[in-house]
Amino acid sequence: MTLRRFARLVALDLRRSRRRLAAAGIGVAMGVAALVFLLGLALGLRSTLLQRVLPLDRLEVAAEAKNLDLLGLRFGLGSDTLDGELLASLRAVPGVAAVYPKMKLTVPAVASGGGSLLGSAVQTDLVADGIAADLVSDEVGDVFRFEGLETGTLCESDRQCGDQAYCSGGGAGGEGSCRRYVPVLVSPHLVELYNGSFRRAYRLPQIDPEAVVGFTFEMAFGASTLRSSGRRPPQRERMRLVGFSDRAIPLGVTLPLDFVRDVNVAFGSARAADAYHSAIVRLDRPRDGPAVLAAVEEMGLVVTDRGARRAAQMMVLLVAILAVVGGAVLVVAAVSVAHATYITISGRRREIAVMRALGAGRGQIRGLFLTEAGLVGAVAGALGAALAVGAAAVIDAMGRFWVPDFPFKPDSFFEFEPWLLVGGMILGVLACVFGATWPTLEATSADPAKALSES
Amino acid sequence: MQDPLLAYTLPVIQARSVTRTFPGRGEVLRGVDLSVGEGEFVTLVGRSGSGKTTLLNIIGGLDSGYEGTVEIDSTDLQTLGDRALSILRGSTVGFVFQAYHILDHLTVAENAALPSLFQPTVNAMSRDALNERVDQVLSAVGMAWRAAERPATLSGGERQRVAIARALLLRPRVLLCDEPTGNLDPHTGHEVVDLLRRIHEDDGVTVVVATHDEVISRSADRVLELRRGRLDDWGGPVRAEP
Repeated sequence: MTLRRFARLVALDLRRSRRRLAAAGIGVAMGVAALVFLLGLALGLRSTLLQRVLPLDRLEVAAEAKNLDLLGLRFGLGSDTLDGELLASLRAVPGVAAVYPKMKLTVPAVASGGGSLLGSAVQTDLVADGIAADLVSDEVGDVFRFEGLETGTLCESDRQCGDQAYCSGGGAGGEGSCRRYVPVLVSPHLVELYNGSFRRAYRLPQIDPEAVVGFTFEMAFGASTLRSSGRRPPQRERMRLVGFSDRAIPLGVTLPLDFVRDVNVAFGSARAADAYHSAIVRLDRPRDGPAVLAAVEEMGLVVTDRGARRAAQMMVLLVAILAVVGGAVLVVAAVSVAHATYITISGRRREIAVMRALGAGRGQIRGLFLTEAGLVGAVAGALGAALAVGAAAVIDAMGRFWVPDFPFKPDSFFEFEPWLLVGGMILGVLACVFGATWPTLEATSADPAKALSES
Repeated sequence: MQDPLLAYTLPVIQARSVTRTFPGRGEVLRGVDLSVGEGEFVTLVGRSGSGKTTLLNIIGGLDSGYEGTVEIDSTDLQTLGDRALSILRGSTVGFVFQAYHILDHLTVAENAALPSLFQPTVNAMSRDALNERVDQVLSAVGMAWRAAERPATLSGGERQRVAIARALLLRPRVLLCDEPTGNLDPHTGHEVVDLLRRIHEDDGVTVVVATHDEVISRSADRVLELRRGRLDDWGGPVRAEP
């Protein structure tokens, strides 16, 4: 039989059996939809948790602090920082792709401004962390890269300095120099906290995270509203909010590492330049985690987010459970298809016998029925995958409108990788072909005379 | 009584010592010997359950559970695999059934063309050539004018004509007809018999008809009777004993 004639026969048969096949296909479509939907949900949640909340391919490592508790106070014994040598040792651990040091701002700082945004200027003490721009470049690009404060350009007004700098010491006929804003990153969690609680308590307006990027304010380093300032006069800088990052500290502001280092040295000692408070260790692969963890502990360091790692591993387990549930739904659908196909093919025994009498070989009949089943499976699989994506879009839309913002709320709860959609379609085909195989083999194995005599 | 092995022309069907046993029914055929020559018109008569359909199925390669040998065109059917047997069925043998067995979801023309789908010999045939052949066989049975219709709109006689056209499509050497008039009224039955006779005479097709119908028996070159699983050859067109 030529391909064209075979296709013709399949087309005729599908046309004739469209209602029956649609009924059988719906079962598989629902099974595929359930599997793709559950796996998409599991992968979406996994991505959110592992990439944003609890990154499984990253460990935060710190020096183990030794403390002495006395009369309700805790006194630190020895150093609790990492130096460049330790960081180099960390980079040499097999399975470590990169090490990003983090440095806390060790002097008090006061932020002030916000009159244009909040209606009246506010002033508050702030804590800050310094991180390397490379750590967040995948999230915010290059806007966080710090190129030093001085530009070397003389000016009389801010307009002469462009967007990234302001005129320091200029104005009123005096000549100043352009000085760069210090780029600032903020955690989305902080904005949610402000919009959720802080603004209500202080009767301040709600802020739109998108609209506040570019907002500038002033910070005085070495100053405090809580206690008297030190001997050295505060260092005043203008800050510019350049974006939001899940890797920014939840409460406070995140500044470029080089800037924080300079401030710490200026207000402390030269040793502060090599005193990092923790480091983010990025792994080559998540599965390298246990080995790297062991190596880190051997170096006398501690991983600060063990609980998070356990939660991340639980998430992996959850994904596996959802996959098993989805797979079970598909298996039930396949058995249902097998049953429906068995009944259908049993009802076509006479037709099969007639075709055999007219010269059709067993292989041709089997090819015909299994091709039909495969086509139904492909359509059902595609429909199932589309249903899953559609249902996910509806749920995401509902989530956007009805679920209040919460920290790390994702844009989508689902993640449909191409392999998942293609895999869903292939599973649909396999389910239908599997369902049709046994009844097809049984129906074609008997002599045609038997089926003809039964009709 | 003529020796069934002594066909007067070249045997196109040759059966030797064919025995067929069914569970619960015992031996339906007991050592049947049969020889049908090229171009013969043979009827197979006998009471219901005498084994006529069983013998036709065996000759046509639809039933392989027998003992003995059956040759079509000197080819022993038992030596053929499924594919080769299917090709032989499609190319050398044409079947006409009592219940017509035409497929309701296909049009008359599509039913007539059905055997062409399975035969490698037809693959080389162009679409136009195939359509022409379909038109030819439908015209031969007087059904060309209803080629585009579905079987549901046809009478029993018309359905049987379509089944005959389908059987003739690939120019078989042997036409095996199992009670072709069994579901038809006498008048329509006579028309079908006339049609079979005409095909036999015009195309020289060897025809074997299992029937109760005396009209067909009378029109046959030779009448064979199955009685208690054994075959008697009554020679020329005579009335079979009840």
